[in-house]
Amino acid sequence: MLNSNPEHIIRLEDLEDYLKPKEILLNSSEQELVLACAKGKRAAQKRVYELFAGKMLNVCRRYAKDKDHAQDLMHDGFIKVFLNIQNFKGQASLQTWITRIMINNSISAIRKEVRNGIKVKLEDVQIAEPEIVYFELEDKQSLSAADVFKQINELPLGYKTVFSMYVLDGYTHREIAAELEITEGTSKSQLAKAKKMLARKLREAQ
Amino acid sequence: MSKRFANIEDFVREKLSFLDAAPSNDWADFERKLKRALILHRLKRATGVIGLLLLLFAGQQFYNAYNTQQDLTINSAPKEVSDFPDLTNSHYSASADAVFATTSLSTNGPTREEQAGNSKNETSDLVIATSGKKSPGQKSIRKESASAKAQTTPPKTIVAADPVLFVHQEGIDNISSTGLAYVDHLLNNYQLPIMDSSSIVPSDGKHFFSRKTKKKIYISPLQEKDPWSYSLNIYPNFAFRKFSIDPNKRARLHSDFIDAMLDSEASGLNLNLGLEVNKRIGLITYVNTGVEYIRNSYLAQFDFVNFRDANIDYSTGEITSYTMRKDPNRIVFNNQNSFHYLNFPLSISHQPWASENVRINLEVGFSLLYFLKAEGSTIDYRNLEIIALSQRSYRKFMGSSSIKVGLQYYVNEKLNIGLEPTLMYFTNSIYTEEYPFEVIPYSMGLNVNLQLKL
Repeated sequence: MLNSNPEHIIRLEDLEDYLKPKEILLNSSEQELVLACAKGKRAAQKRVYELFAGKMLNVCRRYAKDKDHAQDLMHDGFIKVFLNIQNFKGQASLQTWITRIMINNSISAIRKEVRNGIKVKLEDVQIAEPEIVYFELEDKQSLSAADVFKQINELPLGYKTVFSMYVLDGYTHREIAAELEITEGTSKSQLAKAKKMLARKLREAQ
Repeated sequence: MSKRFANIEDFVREKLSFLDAAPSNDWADFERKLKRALILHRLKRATGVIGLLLLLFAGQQFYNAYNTQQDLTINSAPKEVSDFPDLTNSHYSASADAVFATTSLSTNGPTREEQAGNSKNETSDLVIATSGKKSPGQKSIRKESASAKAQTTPPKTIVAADPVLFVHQEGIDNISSTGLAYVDHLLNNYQLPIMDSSSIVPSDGKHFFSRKTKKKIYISPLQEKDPWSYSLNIYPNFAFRKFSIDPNKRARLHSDFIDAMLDSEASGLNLNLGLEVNKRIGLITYVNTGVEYIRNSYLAQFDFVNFRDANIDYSTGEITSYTMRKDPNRIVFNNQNSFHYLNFPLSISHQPWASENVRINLEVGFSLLYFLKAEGSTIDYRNLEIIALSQRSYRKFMGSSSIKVGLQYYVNEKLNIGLEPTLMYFTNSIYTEEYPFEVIPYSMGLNVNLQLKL
């Protein structure tokens, strides 16, 4: 006899998170590039590098100490991309896949410095809920994307890393805590402080 | 038109979506790095494959050596000789070619004696050992007998223990003197096979007639002559070890201390002195044991900032909370520390390749380390105070197993220098259960061995 207890009914919508991601078909030129890169064709590797290096440098800049460091991180990331491109199955776009490699590579390179840089206070460890900070900013023409990016880069390394991971790269606090080997409370605290400091900087810059 | 944002996250996301990506023009720089990385990548893979092949080769060599040992043991037993009770005692060859020649002689030997001693007898016994083929001697005798028109009965074959076949020929009458003379002529002109004792390839009964040839093993003139040898070993080695935090004991560890600790004891220089006893158990296989004194020395280096003081619950030994310091405290501490052990190894080594002065040495074994003492000081992982290493508690024994693949250069019979990359697996840590770090149980080391034969 079937158990009719509602707790045991499995609804399809509950399983959405567990369904395999749909394959995103790459356009033919991207597919050709990936295949050629997997065969070690230097011209294809150069094409991929030129296509994505600019964007990836911006990604690495968000985690690096300075521009030179960002460039090193990006180079390391692209080396990993080309050494593992045969594992790219097309579940996401090539850009998303490369971006993920860049982020992981950058985080592992700076993890220790970030952890050392985060000055943990007792109240940070005990924090349970994220601190709610209200901002009211206007999208004034005076603040360009480059200005905002500059202000983010001027944040302390711990703030900048947690802010980038959470706000721009979509990590959860749990994932950030696991990646940086800090507590979830520390991650929340760092984010709150980063937002506070960034808001102040942006107001001053306006 | 201005747009209001209630959330800085949305503001930043939207702004950065318009961020221009500067075109990259550093492909040449990157290409150099990529080429280097590809070479390193291939080198790593090649090293892995070579390592695997080396292991397979070593395994095969051990297997062959084991078989050879078995063969030698079996053939040295007297029962093998009894396979030819009536044929020969003069020599005992094991190679297939030699066996055929010897068999022919053996066949003829007793026949001649029979014929000479009992020339008037009507019956002559020919006892021929064969592996199913007719030996030249057998053929000749029959032919001669036929030409002499001797009355012979069909040969009766008696199959003895496989594969030796005895042909018992009886009823030879009126053997002519010509026939006997021919037999005598054959026997007198027979040349004993010239055999070098070193070329004897031993084989057990099953393979006695097989034509399987074994690869000749090169024995260096510098190899120990005596099966037992004693040597004094001095070998410094540099070992790499890795620590990780035991998740169950995380609460015993001051958070500010983690990275500093992980760096401080990761590698160290060992100086080992040992008296080694070797017993040769094969032509190129040894069992080794002895006693070694090991001094594992490392530089404890700490440079970190302490932001908070730990509040420790001494009943459980765990940190319950932290109190922030008004001023962060930078802790810089350097000290040369050392651990002292006695090691009792037991290993088997095999030297699959050798020239006069150089040998490849493969070694697998176990060892038992007995902890003697610890010298130096370090930082306590809970309260970050400097403590003497001797205050900590240690396990008395630690087990390990090891694999070595190395090269030994024999300067002369008394002295050799070895270079041996060694992989060790430790069965347990020297630290007690209270210690919040786990040592990753594998260690890679490079032994530089100076061995003096006593």
